[in-house]
Amino acid sequence: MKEIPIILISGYLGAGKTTLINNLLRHSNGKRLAVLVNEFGELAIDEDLIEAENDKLISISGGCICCSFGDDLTGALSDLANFVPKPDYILIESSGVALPNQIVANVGLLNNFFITCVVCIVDCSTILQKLRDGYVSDLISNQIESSNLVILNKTDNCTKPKVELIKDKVSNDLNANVIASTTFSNISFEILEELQQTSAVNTNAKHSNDIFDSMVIHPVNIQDPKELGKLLLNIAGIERAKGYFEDISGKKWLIQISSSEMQLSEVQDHRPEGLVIIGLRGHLDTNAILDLVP
Amino acid sequence: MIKTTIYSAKKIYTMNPCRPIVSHVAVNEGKILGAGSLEELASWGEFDLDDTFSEKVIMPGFVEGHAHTMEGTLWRKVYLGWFDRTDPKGKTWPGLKSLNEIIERLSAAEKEMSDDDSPLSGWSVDPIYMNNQRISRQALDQVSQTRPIGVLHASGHILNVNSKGLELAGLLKKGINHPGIPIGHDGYPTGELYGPDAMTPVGIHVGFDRSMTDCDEQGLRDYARLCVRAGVTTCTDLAARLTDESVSMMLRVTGEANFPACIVPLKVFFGMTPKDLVDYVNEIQSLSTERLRLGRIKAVLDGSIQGFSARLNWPGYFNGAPNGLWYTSPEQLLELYTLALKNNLQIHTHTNGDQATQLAIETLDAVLKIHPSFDHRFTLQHCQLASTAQFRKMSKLGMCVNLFANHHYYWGDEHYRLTVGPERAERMNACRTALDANVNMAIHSDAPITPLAPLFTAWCAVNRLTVSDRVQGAHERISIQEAMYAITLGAAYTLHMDQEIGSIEIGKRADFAILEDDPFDSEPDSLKDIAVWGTVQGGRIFEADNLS
Repeated sequence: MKEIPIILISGYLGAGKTTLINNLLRHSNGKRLAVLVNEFGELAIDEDLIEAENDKLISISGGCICCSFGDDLTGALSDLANFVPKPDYILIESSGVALPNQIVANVGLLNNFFITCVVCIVDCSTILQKLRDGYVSDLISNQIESSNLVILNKTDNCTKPKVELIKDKVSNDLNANVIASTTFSNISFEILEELQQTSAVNTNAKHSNDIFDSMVIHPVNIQDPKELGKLLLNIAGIERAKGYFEDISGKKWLIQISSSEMQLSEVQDHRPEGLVIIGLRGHLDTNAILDLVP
Repeated sequence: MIKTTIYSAKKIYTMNPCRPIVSHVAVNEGKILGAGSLEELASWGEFDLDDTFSEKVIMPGFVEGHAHTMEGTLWRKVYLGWFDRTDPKGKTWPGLKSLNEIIERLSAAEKEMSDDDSPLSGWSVDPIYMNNQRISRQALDQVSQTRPIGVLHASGHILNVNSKGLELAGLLKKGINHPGIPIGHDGYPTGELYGPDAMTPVGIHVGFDRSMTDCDEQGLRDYARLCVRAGVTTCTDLAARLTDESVSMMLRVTGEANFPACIVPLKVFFGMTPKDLVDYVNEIQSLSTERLRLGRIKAVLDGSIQGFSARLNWPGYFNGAPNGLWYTSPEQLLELYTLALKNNLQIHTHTNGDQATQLAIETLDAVLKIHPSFDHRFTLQHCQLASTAQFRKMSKLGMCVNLFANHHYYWGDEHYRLTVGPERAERMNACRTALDANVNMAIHSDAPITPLAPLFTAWCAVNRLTVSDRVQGAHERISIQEAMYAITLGAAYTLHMDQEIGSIEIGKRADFAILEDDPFDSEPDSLKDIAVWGTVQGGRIFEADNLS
C-alpha cells in the first residue's frame, strides 16, 4: 500500500491552526485533503465549505474531509487509510498542548503513513510574552523547535522590528530554519507545499545553519509579466518563488523561480492569487520585494 | 411512617461533636431518625430492636473521594501485585514476590481458558519491589506464544506484552523509533510499553482497550462489593467518560434493589470544548438518583510524578528529567473554571506537581473575582507536592484538597531517592499542613492504583510509613481522629454532600461502616488491621461475607 503523507499542524492555543486549516481546505489546489482535528469545537470548519456532516465526519467541497479523532489518533488514521478515494494528504491539527514529537513518534508506529512536514504556527501578537510565561514557555519552545516550518501569524498587529525580533528568536534560540510570515493564517495549500519542499531540501542537505525566510506578495496592475519576472530574478537572495498574479488586461499568470531560472506561463484561471518568495534570511532583499507591490 | 429499627452497638462513633459516642441509632425510611440512648430513641414510638451489631463498632459509612470503578472490571483479569489483595468475591490473592511467581499465576490462568485466541491480561505488577527487574516479551512467551498477553503495572503507566501481542499490533519488527518502546539487543521491541501513546495501539490486542477507564455492568456490581468490604457507602468514580450509554448503564445498575453504594461519577474534561462539557454536565445533573450522583466535572492538569509527567516548579525533577506535560492549557482551564462557576458546577482538578497546583490556584483566584462564589469547594485531587504557601492560599480561596495518602506508602521511597529528592518527598501529601492551614481535607486510594480501604488510607496518613518501614515526613502525620474525619465528613464536604452523609446524626442517610474493632481506641499502627464486617447503606444491611 502506498504511504500517505501527513502534515502535522502544531501551535499553541489561539495561534491560528483552525483558520490555517480552513484556508488550506478553501485553496487545496485540487488535492484531496483529509483533516484530523482533536474535536469539533465551536470554530471548526467554515460553514460555506461544508457539504455534509455527521458526528464524526464533515465532507468538504472538492473531495476533502474532516474528522475528529478525540483520544484515538491511531484509529482515526486507520479509518482514513481505508477511505475511498484515498486522500492525497492528511493534515493533523494537534491540540494546543501537544508535543509534536510525540505525535510524530506515534505515527511512526503505523505502516501506511509518513510525516512529510511539521508546521508550527505562531501568534506574533503574544509569542514574546508566552516565551516568558513560566507555565507554557517550555511547551511553546518545544513546539517551535520540533517543527520544520514556522509560520509567523498575525504579523499585521506587530511593528517591523518586533517581527524581526521574533524571527531572531525562533531562528537563533529555537532552531527554526524555514520561516513564513502571514496574517489571518492566509496560506494556500500550494504555498504550503512550496515551503515544505524548501524545508525538505534543507533537511536533506543538512544545511543546518541556513535559515530560510519567506514572504507572500500580491502583485496587481502588472503591465508586463515578463518585466515582473526579470525584476524578481534580479532581487538578491531569492532561492525559490512560485505563485499566481493577474496582469492589467486580466490575464492570469503562473510564475516559478528556482535555481536562478524563471518560468512564466499563462494559465486559465487560478485562485487565490499570491506569490510566495523564499530566500536565505539575511540575504533576501525584502525591501526590494516590497517595492514591487503597491 | 413505617416502623423504626433501632440498632444497638458496642459503640457508635457519630462524628457529630454534640453527641460523639452513643449506644443506639434509629433508622426509618433509610434515614437516621436519631442517635442516642435506647430510651431517647424509644420515645419516637414503635420500633424493632436489632442486635445484629451489638458486638460491633459503628461509624458513619466511609466516603472514598477519589477512586475509579474500573477496579471492578479489572478483577476479571489476573491479579499480579506484590501485596496481598482481596477480590470482590472475598478471595485474598497472595502477593507475588518474583517473576517466576508471576509467570506461574499467569500460566495457571492460561490453562483455565477455553478458547485459544482470546487475550490473557494481568494487572498491578510493580517491579520496583523486585529490584526493578524488567519483564521481557520472552518471559511472557513462556506462558503462551500463541495467545496475546498483556500485563499492566500498578501505576497504570507501563504495559508488558508478549511477542504475540506485539505481532498483532504490527510492532514485532525492527527499526521502531519511539520513546515509549525500548528496543532489545536483537533490534526488536522488548515488550515493555511506556505511557499511553505506546500502550494504546497494543493494549487493544491484549485486553486493555481505550474505554478501560470506565467500568462495565458486571464491573460496577463487583466494584460495589469491594465498597462493602471496605466500609465504603459513598464512592466517587473520578474520571468517568459518562457517555450516554454509560450513564444509562450506571443508572440501571445502581438502581437495582441490592446495589449497596452511592456512586458519584465525575465527567472528565477531555475531547470536548469547555462549553459543550458544561452544557452536558448541566443536562445530566438532573438524572441524579439516591445512588447515582451526576453533575460534577473532573479536570486533569498534569501527569504523574513517578512518570515524570507532572509539572513541577523550580528546581524540577531530582534526577534532572525535563518538566512534565500539560493535559489542559492555562487558557482552557480559565474558560472551564469560568463557565463552571457561572453555571454553579463543581470541578475537581487533578494536580500532582506544584506548578500545576499553582496554576489551578491562580486561575481560580482570577475567576472568583469575576464570578464570586462563596461555597464553590473546588477540590484539588492528589495535589501531592503542594507547598505550605499553596495550602494557605487554597484556604483563603475556599478550595478543598484530597491528598493521596496511600501513594506515600507505596512510592514514597522512590520519590525520596529518584523523582523529587528528600526535602520535597517529606512534604508530599502534607496532611498536617493542609489541616493547619484550615483547608478541608480528604485522603484517598485512587483505586485501582492502590486498594480501596479507607482504614488503610487513614493508617497511611497517621503513620507516614513507606514500604521500607521508614517514617517519611514525621511532621505531616495526623491524629487518628483527624484521619477518621478525613474519610467521612472531610470527603463528604468535597462533594457538597456533608448535609446528607459523613456523620451519624438525625436526618442524614443511614450509611454506616460496621467494624469489628474500635479505630479510635487502637494503636496507630494497627488501624489498617481493623476488620470490616460490612455496611449499612440507605438503611439496607450488607454483610461483606454474605453478599448476594
